[in-house]
Amino acid sequence: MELLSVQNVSKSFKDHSYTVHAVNDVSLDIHQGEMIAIIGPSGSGKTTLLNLMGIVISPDSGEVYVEGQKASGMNDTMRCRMRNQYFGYIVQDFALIEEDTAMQNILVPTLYSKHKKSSSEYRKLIYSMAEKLQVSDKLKSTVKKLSGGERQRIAIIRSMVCDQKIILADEPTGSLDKDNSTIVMKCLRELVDDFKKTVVIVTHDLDVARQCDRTFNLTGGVLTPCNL
Amino acid sequence: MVIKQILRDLRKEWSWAFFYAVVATMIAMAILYLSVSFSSVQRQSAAIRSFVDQNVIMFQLKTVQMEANREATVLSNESKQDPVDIMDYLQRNLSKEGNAGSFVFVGNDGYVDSKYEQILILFGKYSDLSGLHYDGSMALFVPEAHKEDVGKEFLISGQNLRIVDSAGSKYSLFHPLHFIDSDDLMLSNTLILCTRDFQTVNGMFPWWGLSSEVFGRMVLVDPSDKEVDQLQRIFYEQSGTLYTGISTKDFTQVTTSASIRAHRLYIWFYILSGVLLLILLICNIIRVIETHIADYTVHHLYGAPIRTIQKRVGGFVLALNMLPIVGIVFVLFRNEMTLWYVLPLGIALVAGLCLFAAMYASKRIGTMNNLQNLRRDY
Repeated sequence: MELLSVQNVSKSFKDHSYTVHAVNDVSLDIHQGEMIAIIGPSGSGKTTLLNLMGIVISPDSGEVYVEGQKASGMNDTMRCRMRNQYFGYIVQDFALIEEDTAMQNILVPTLYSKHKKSSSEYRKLIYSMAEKLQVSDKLKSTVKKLSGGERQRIAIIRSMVCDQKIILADEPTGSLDKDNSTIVMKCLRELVDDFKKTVVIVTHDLDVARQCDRTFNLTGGVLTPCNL
Repeated sequence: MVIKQILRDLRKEWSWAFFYAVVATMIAMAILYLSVSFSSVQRQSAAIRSFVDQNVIMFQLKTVQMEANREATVLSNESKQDPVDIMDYLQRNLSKEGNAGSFVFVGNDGYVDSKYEQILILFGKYSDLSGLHYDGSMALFVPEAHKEDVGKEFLISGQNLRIVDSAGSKYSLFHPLHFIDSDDLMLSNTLILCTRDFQTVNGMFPWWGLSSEVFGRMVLVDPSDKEVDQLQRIFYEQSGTLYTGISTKDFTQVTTSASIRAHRLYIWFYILSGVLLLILLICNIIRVIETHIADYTVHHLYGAPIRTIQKRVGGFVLALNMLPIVGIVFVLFRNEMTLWYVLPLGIALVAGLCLFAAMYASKRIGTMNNLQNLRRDY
């Protein structure tokens, strides 16, 4: 069974007098342990598709299934619970709370987790992940004191602290230099290979896309497979 | 969990929270104190209007002039020609047929029950001017606090007098030069004796020398020019000083009206300051929400339902307003001020603010509910 399945999903937005069809009848099945890239020009609907996959927004038509569970028809609380359980999010600008420490940021998903562990268990887990990503000495620092690469690695730890199965990454290397981009992509690859996580990356960068198992092109809201 | 997050939000905004708490408490207290003071002035204003409508003339000491005073010479000559018997004058003019009125406070030196600290004697027209009406030549009234005494009889210096009624909770004593509000302790423990028989009452309190005090607060209701001249002459004969009659309207125009205007000005100033503070608060709430929108979105993405975000933002605004509300209630309580409408009004205002903040935050997350919220250029 597919871990994440998107079936004939469409989404449009009204922009003053005209309607923008951001995602147009897209279908896609994603299995556990896959790393998928979605490429496309700016404004082609990549982020909207990622939002639909991550049940952040609802489609106008079509269905999104997570481990066979239909997401449409769920109320806000149920959608939140599903997001907490299945999804981790990584974005270009890190989406970290600047005034809080790295540790506080990482702990955000645990606040809403249904299967809570003890505080010491979480800390132990976070330290082991941070050591692996070489940011264990940064956990007590406030986010605003961290570099871009360190911030993105903190965001990666946050995206899997509740053992989420799917990581949705929106331009994860967009704000990083070449070295940090390499580190972040290596981390994501390890998540797929070592922990059987599923990663969906939206990117402009073809080098990043080449490191993925499958690549899709989204143009004018229409998704097509492509080989790089 | 939500409380923890509210406390964290407050810590991040502590400088604004402190500034707001201090300024809001100051403005609210200023408005409350001025309202209390203004309501007293308003009650005084009602009494003034009644005096003005009845054309009450009061008397005040005339300004001393350095050059020879022709008016004084005329009065002096007139008094030599036509001397007036003071007691006769007071008996006649403070009677039912007369149009003079005055009042005097005498201490309760064992005249009546000791719970009454003093006796207020209203002569002639003053009982009508104060809104106390009775038949006969004498009657007793009690303040609202002692209305259980209505119907009882008191023996005062050989005179058996019945308490005919309570003066009512709104009873206040007005004279253009004095105003004793109904809340004043001076009235709440005072027995009120109304009389149209000056000589009898003067005989009841022989040690008090009532006539000089009666003259000091004498007013005439709608008098003729001749009556005003006559009283001015009596003043001159009694004290050797010139008093001049002035209508309540003219007198209060330069005194009480100015005070009412000043009060109105202050109240408007503080109300406008309050409105400005409210606008500032709303702008700041919007600023705080906009600043923390990425924070709220992260929490929402990772599992916080919109309702939880609403509770967090609403709770933050509630906590922001807690200190001013508690401060105001504390000061009101300490000062025994019973402004029953203040608390529900304050609660309604704060509830409205909390609701606004919660709705605004959820609308922002609701409409921008996607990863766009987390982009720096957004």
